[in-house]
Amino acid sequence: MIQQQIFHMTEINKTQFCEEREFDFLMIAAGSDRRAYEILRKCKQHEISIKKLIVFDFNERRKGLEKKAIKEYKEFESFGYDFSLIDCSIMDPASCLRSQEISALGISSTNTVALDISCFTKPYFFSILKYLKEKAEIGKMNIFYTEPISYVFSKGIYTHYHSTKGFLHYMEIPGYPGLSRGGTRKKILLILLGFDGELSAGLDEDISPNETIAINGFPAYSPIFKDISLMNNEQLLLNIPRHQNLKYVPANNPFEMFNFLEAFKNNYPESFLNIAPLGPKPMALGACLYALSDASTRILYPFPQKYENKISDRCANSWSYSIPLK
Amino acid sequence: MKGFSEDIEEAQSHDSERFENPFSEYNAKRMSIGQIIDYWCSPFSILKPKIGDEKRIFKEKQPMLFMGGRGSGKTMFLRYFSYEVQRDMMLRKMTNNPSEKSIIDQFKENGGLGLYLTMDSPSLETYKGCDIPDAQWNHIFIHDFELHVCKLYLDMISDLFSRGQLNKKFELKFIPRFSRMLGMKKEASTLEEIKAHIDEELDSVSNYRGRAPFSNEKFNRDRIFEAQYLTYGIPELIKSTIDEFRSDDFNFVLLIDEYENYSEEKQKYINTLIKFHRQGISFRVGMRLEGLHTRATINSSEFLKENRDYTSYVFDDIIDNQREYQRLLSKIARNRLRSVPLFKNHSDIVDILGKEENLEEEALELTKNGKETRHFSLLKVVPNIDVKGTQKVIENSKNPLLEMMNILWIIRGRNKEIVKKAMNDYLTKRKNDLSNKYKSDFINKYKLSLMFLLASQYRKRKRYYSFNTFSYLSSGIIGHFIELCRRSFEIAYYESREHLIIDGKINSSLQDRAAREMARTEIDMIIPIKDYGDRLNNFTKNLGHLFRLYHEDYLLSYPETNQFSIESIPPASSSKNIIEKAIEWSIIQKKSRLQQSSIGGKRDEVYTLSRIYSPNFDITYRTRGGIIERLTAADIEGMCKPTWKPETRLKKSREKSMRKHPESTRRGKHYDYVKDTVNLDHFF
Amino acid sequence: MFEGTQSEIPTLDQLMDLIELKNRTVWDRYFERRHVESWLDNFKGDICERDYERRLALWLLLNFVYYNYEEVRHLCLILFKKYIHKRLIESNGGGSTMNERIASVLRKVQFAQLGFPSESSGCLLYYFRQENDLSIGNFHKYFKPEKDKSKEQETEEIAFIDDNTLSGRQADSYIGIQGKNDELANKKISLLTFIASYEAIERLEKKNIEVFSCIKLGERDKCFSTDSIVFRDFPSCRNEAKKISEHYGSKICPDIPLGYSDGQCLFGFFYNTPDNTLPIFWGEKEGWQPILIRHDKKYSKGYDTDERFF
Repeated sequence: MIQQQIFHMTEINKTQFCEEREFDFLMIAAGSDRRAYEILRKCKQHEISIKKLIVFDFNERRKGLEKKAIKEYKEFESFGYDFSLIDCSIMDPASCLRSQEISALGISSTNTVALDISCFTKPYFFSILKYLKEKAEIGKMNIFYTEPISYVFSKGIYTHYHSTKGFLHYMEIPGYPGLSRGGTRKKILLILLGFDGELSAGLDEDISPNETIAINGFPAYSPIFKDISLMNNEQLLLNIPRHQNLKYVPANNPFEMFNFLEAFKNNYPESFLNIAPLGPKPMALGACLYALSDASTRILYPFPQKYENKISDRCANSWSYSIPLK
Repeated sequence: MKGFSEDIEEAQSHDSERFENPFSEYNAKRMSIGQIIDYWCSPFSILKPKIGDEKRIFKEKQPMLFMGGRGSGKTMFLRYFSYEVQRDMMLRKMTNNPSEKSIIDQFKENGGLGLYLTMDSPSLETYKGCDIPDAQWNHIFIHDFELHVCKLYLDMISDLFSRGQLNKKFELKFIPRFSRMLGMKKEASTLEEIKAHIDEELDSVSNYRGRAPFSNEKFNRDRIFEAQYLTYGIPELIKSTIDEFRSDDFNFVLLIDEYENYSEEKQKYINTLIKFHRQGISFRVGMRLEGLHTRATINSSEFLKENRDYTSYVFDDIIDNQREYQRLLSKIARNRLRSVPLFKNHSDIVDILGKEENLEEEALELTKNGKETRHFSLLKVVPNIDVKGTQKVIENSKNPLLEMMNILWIIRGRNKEIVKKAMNDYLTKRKNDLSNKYKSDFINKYKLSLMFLLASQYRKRKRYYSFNTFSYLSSGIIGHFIELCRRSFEIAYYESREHLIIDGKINSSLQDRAAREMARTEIDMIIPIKDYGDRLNNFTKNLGHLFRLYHEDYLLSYPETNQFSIESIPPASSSKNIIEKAIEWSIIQKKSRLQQSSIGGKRDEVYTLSRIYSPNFDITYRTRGGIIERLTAADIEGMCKPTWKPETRLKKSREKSMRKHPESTRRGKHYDYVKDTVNLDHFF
Repeated sequence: MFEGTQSEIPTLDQLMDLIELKNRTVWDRYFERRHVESWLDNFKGDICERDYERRLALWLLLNFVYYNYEEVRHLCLILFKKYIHKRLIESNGGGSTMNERIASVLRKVQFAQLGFPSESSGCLLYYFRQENDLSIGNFHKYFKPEKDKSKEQETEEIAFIDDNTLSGRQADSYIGIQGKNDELANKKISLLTFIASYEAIERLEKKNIEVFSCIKLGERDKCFSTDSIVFRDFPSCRNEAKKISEHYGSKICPDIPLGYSDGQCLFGFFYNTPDNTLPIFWGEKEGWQPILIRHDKKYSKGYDTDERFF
């Protein structure tokens, strides 16, 4: 059970990084997005020592690369860190984490571990954190995240945002089934709003909960984003009594997300909570921490046929979160 | 402008009355028990010839399968018969009439009690993979399913007990026997203890599902429940301990919803329960069309047989009486409108939307009150015709639709003077063969088609509006009708607020917008369909475009065509799968009766494109008899690709027709083959 | 400059549809179409072709961020939490439980409105108190009974509350005026504001005023700056949009055609629209039809009424 404590969340800039100056392991996801290696750049600037860089190399991403993006994709090689490349599928985090390659790394509770979630899909970093907590028994770690300056809207129109292609398959994220207990227990779905309204509406329809709560990231990275997420989730918002069931949590603070979920659960102790972390990654991180501390919570996610290649634009602020897993 | 500023200020004041759309929130899963009761409109007046009355849902021993598209009302229907909803209805009765019987006696009178069970697709999907054999997962699923059913019974018993409906004698008999049945190490003395035990067992399954992706451990419990043990054992135990439920005629009914979420393997297990159901226990199963993935049971030689093991009812199909269906829609709308203070004085949806379209008015608007005459250029297809001269004879600026009718007759070879006479005789109600033929063609066959054709001449779109049109567009799915209303109200609130709130009207252009936006949204929802999205999307669009071409045909050879039949296609082929998926997702609907696909042709199964998509393709919102497209497996495969060309298909149909009837085809006389005797206005 | 694609700004119909969507989903259906059309009628084509002007105007409206009642209350909560979080990190003792530590921080601070009574800050104090379940004793009183004067000795900090500070000048000026008051002498001064620009923060911090804010605005949030996020996908439209806003703005508010202190802002609150926001949204002079309301501050003590019976 996580104790009541003061959270630590630091904006990484020229003068500050985080308390730790060295890590045994830093996990990142390879990608051609500028944000994929922004943390590595900042680690170099601050002369942070990384004993082992673990690079998750998704074969779907690698195969989908355009020629000019290959150099950007392989930029992690240029930082001079000792790295291990983990070949895996973006659609199957559980298999990857069960693999020999991961167990061979020997991550344990005595190590200082960090994870940059900027370019991981949410199911992936959820599974990684589950693994780190329960298998590797990590008690505390650092999580990094770099915000984008903006997102890619087709023809600049805010309602034309798509993060996925093709069909969607709504599933539980491996390791987070929750405790439904059946019967007449009320099923509540909490959706962290993103920009892709198709995902939220489809999930809500598929799950058909007794009640849906929409959580908008506010304040957002940019003022207009709180409006874009509402506009793009109209289909979902039509199905809920907006004035009671639309809530707000700061987009860049996982700890506030955790607090919100804990308070919510206290108000509905007998209900079966389901969370769909479709919104900003720091909010998703907060949901993950909550689900790790409360196993009765189920985490759901729409797994797509394919992810879009480019959905965000450049880098804005980077953050370091000191995360207690126990 | 002070007035405008005040107006804006009032609108922006957070105290101003917030608009409540009477047609929002129609997902029955999300409705509270009170809402289910308040919004319930009994469909039995429509369903009676097939299902019977409400009591039959409880009393009928044979299992029933209810199939229908998304929004057709299955969940509302099943939830209505659940213990919680029936209980609350009984409580309301008791409040209004203190001498009313007790809850348990009312259930006894009903002859049954329903328990609503639903398992969503994400949870059902997890009983697989993680390097664990399927057979092991099946055992775990069965154990879990049994526990879920057990929990439902337990909740029901606990509720009856807490309301004083069950006495101490029951407690002393039931609890020990129940805890022995569950194999509890320490015999329970209260229902709470049993509940805790069941919760622990359910949690153990969930926890195992959570650990399975990351470890290789086996599922290990003291007691793993086999199929049927609790599903049948508990109701038998209840019957033996509660006098009111003891009778052989009293049924415990398991209301299983969203059956399409269960995989084939899981359905085999539940099919076994259905097939071998015992006295006093029955099943009512709700699912999407084609949601029954298998009829097999766990016994490889036993299968579910319709009418012998179960009866099935297709919701979209049952409602074959358009008038009754409209009455039901009107009632549903009235309940909703009355529940919102803003609309309590305008609770007649027929009044708000208008009863029917006014095609003559629409045509006049299109032609600017008869001033535009562009549509006469259609006459140019007739060789050597004096277009202006003919126009002078057959025109009727007060009714452009009659002008279109006349144009059609001219194109089909009739003399202009005869056409004029026919029109005049029709208008003056003179009865003779000619005017009868004219009237029959105009009113029964071509009026709506002529409107579509007229609109296309002016590069405009025919509008979709009125209660009648919306009821057709909804294609038997009540949820669609509600959504059409919701959108109309939303748009009207923005565009024409006073007219909506004060006059209680929504004008046709706003309704049309709602219909088109909904059609677009429904089309957009096809791509995300798992595994088939892209192909279904192409299939739907190609089919719609094909039908659109028929509507644009100036010969109106096949008016309002929106049906097709399928030549036999191999089972388990990809085209068969596409059709099944399209039915499951209500993209297409199968007509209940076999029909001739063409005059003199053999009787096939006939399908229509869901009419909710009609505004997207500017095609008719009704379904009529007449020539139907006949698709082969190869056609279907081709239509699943974006490269398929509907024009090629139409050309082939015409060539075929021309080969068969070369003389009359020249001027389009093959219209004669659309016989007047075909029932043109049935619902599907 | 961004790497964004260079697209054509959406058509008038597309923009009207987007405004209608935003009205339904974000602005709680406040507007009707006629309000939007009346506002668009203001743009007569003085600078560019009329329809193009209206498209740019609609684009700006689409990017306008309106903070409704619920959002303002949420900002009150977040602002307080940010403040407390920082103070907790700084303080090392104060109690063994979190509640005790927070109580210890609260004993040393008094929250106060920025500016004069009846300004918006006063209204915000009410929500701030309610949302954070604070005692009335946590708020600075200008007229105190004798018994409260002894409690002041505990107070080490005065935290002013406001909704936005973009240039920092107003805050600087008000705090300067209030600073002459003995009550503020030797006390730490902070400013808690929903929205602050980096420029204002820097200015105030030079004067030892610590600033806490929920939303920080930089160059990219300034509507017509070269880094403007509003024109990320339509960089070629930026200058024209600026000319249009300046042209009409100068008719409505000659002194501040692009908002107070060249604010170029696109936001407002349910209780008022700040004058940093482009006047084309809220101006009422010279026959201009506003789309948003702004209640200007009156400084003179006169009164003006047309009512016959009073």
